[in-house]
Amino acid sequence: MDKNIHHHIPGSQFSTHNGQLVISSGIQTLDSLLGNGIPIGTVVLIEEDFHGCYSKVLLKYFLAEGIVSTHSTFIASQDVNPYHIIKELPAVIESDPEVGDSAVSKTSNNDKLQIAFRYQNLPSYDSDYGPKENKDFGHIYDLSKTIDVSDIENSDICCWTGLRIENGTKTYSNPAYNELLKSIKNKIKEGKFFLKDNPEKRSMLRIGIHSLGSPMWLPHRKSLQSIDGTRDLDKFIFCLRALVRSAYAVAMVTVPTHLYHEMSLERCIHSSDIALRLQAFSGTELENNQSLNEYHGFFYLTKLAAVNSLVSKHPGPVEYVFKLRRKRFSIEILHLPPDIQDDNKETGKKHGNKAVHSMGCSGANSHPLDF
Amino acid sequence: MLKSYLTQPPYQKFIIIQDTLTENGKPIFDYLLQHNLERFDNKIHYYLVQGNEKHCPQNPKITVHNLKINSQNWDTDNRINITQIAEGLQKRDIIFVDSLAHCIFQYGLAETYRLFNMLKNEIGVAQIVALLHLDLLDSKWKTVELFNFLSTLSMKVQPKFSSEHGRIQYQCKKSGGRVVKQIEEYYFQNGKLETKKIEKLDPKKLLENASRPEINPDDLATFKISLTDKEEESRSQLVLPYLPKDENSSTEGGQIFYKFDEQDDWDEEDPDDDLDI
Repeated sequence: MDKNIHHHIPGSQFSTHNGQLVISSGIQTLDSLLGNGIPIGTVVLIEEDFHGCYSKVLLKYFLAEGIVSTHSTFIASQDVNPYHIIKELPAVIESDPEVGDSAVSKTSNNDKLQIAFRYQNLPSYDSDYGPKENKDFGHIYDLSKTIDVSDIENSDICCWTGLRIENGTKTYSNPAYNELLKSIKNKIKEGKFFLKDNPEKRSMLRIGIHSLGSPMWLPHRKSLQSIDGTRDLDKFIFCLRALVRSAYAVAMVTVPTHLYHEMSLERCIHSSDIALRLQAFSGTELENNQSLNEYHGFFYLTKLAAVNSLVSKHPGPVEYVFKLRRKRFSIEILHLPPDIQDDNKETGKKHGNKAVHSMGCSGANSHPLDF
Repeated sequence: MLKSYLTQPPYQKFIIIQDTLTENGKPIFDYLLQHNLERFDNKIHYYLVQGNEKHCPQNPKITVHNLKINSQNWDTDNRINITQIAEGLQKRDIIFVDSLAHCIFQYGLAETYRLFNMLKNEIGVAQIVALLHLDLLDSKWKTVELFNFLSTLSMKVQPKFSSEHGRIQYQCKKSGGRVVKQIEEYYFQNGKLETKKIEKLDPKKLLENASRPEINPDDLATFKISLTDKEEESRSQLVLPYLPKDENSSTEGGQIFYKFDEQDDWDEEDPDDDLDI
């Protein structure tokens, strides 16, 4: 591939790891997790949290980044009107809104906790904002503000609602899947995003599909199949990947996987390139866990395909957590706090238990059966 | 807490009451209907899929749509199309459906879900309240999970447990991503629904309270120490061979007199003194 052509695509850069052309997901921590960004021609699968609101935030970041980088956008949803999602996209801002706050808290932390001088000036490992390689790549967004209407009007946005669906295909039990694939293909063709096309100005297509495989995508009554009974979902992701591979396009698909059986889910992950899972704490036992109360959920990087390379950049068994603040969504490595307080309690409890339950010849005077 | 979710703003968009034949959810459904009638001026649409039209509350604010009439299209009368009714709705309307399961039987799972999704998201009606009979569902279709995905407040009526009041297990999705899952007790007082949090006992406290009762050696030993009344009685009646027998005591034998030595090692202590028995 001729690198000079790619240089003209705004909002993209070459990965330092494998030379692959990547685009930003809109969240800088996620970009660095994925190895500089999302490689073009890939499908990102997001397993939705139970409520579905955190996965929606990820999708919004992805689409907002596309609009700011003047990429074309294709958005599909049957559950909500895709135009509402576009209207709620976060606004881009110059500097990080909460970087000041964290700096203040860091200094106050320094007063409390003295660390060896050798380590004091080292950058922290999971700091969100490392040195930026490319000014054009990745932006900062404020979730409390929404994008300007004029920005939406000036962008190339295509919405798909699934309202006009023709029958007459046997590949899928719900013709909506076929219809969506056709629409995406047409969009790629019209916008000249195929690799073989030679448009005057090369651009990128971002495809966002919200809540694919939700009950709105259920097979029709005649097919008599349950939600797990059809292979529609994984077939669709497989076809989508084939389509996206041959184009300057990236697809982000959120799926309410908690409605599906594990087997169907694994097929979907197999057909995608990058798979992420959001597991919110709210409504589960983890909600009351002291060491997790700062965060909103676990962030799992289930799959990270090695594109254009033999080595996957998957970080291995590291646990990530996410939190959604008023203005910003962030992903961090989970560090458990020092276990000082609990330790005392634990030992105290152990002693207590021993006094009650032990039945040996230990010679503790209080015990009635000791001898 | 459940009461405030049901009756105070922000009002839940889609409430599902799951009930069974033994645990009836109709009283809660009727209460919500009554509550909406008293409180708001909104138009209420009552979709009659299961019950009898005579039992519907008569009120000018309520429009009853009897969907049972000619449901199979066998009659020459015009069949009421549920989608057509839905399309004529407005944002402020409130919808009550007396059986979601019957709705699914009539229109199919996919179509019913589409309809409710349209009501909730596209038209954006003020509130939907639906009764879902769990006995009528096949778990293979995952109907409950699918509708829970759409609902904002899903309640399941549960039987009484160590209390005079029935229970409701509910799950409420709040805006901002919070999900509340709880079990509460409910009862009706003067026709009003009251809910009460079930006081969960702290297991640690329970352990502390339970660990120091009177120490009973029976519970601690791996063998049986004490005797039952019957055993005690038979023991008392047993005559041991070395004991003087009544008939011989006067005629024969002698007595043993123990004479202490000068340095006799007589132990007067009870050997079982340390047992606390």
